[in-house]
Amino acid sequence: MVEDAKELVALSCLLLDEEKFDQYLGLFTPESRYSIRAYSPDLRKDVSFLDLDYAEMEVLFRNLPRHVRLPGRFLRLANGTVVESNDGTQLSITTAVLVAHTDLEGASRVFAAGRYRDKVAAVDGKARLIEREVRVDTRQFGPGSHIPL
Amino acid sequence: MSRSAVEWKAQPGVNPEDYVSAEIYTDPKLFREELERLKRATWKFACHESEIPNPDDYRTIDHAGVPIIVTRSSDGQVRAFINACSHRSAMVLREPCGNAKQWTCLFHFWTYDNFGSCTQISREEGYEQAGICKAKMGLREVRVGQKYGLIFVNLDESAPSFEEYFGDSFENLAEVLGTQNLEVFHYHKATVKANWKQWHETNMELYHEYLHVVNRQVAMTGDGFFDRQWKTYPYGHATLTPMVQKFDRVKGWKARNEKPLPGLGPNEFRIVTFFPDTTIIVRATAMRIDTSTPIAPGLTLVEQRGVGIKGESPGDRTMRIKHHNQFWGPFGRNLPEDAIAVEAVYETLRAGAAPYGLFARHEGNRGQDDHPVRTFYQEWSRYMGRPASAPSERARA
Repeated sequence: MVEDAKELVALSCLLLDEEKFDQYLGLFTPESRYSIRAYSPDLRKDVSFLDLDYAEMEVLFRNLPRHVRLPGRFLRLANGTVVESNDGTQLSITTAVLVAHTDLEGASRVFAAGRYRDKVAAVDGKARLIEREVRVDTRQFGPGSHIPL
Repeated sequence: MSRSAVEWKAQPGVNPEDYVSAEIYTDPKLFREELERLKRATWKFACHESEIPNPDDYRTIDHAGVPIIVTRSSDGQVRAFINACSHRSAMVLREPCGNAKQWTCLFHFWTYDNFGSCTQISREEGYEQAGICKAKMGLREVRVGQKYGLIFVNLDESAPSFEEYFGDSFENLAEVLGTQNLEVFHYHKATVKANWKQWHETNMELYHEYLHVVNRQVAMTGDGFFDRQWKTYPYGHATLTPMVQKFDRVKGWKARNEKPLPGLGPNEFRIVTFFPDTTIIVRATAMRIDTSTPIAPGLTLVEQRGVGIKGESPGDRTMRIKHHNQFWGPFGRNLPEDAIAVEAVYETLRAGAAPYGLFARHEGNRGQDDHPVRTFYQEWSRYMGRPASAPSERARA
């Protein structure tokens, strides 16, 4: 299960990088949630940048082609997965993640730094995400992004 | 038919107030002059009162390159000071916010209270022959104005009063901001590779709503979208007739019928732009306060706040945050599009590829009329003493 979960994290990065959104959604259970959050030293509390259930994720991905989006592509590098808890049916894991953006001129820069905090369960024998919180250190994202991290 | 170089560079053949020169966005000398003559002479939104709710709370901001402390002093009054030590000018407070009765400069331990008085000079006796003492070494105080929980600062002691400057321009926000206690739940910054005025233009030039697929669905299909009327105020502020929008026109989104912000009907939209760089947009249940700080001619720091009702239930707050983030925030549907659009404009302006921008839409001050932008540039020209269409010319007045 732990190895399956690590592979799931790596696959989630690859599928989002390649904008295979249907397959990416397939890594989540229909009851799952996805969020991007950060601690704001300006407000001295957490702020939420995105908080979606599965149906809302579907809407977001379905509408993407109609938006004017940041040109270029993203590369997500997730590494150093740590198992926080494992009760035999559900894993809580944390993985450091860096997201690089490469523009159309070929220049790359770090777009975001943070951690995936995932809850993973086995569904029909396959590891699936039941919750992903992207806990970001980054709070300035340039023009921002229509695509989740 | 395409145009030759001469035709491309020629004045556009419209009234001077209907276009602006590209130089106003790119010229480094004009940029420095703007900071001095305009930005530091106008009232700047600093923060919301909920960011400094308690005595001794402080918030630090940058206003046109000048670091400023906004504090609720120990007596409960809001005050502001330039965040520079009277000794060697080191920044006294370096955190974005905090709570302290005394502020000690890290460099030589000079200390100030949150009324701006200098309360300690390390080994003060060494300054006796120079006549320097605590009583003469207080921080430089900055003017503060407050309305409906919004805190503004002004570096210019001869600028118009807060009341005169804003006049009636808050009228569309009186109930929204003034009925219940509000608090900031969202804050983020975005660095945009464009001029600060371009960012503010996106809040006034609503012809650009074609850019946003969400607005095409939610707003442009709404009754009376094109018939709304701009109203402008002295000193360059503007507001638009409220309208009802159709949030459920976006597949998967819901109408905003429940729990609108105070004074608003279901699905109601309002916008008020304050000269020179602050805008408040309300979309029924969610509100955004937007302000910008110029860093360089082609670099702007945008700050955005999301605001909710203080003490509301966790469920209501979650709904409000969700509605806020649908449009705004770094992963909202609209904000990246605005940033991408203004950066695309600056790409052509920065090397002089394009000579001017057109604001020549005249539709009886209706929603997509450029009237508020022209009003902005009339005010800009007044502060700068030169027309925005030909900034190399000094005003003839």
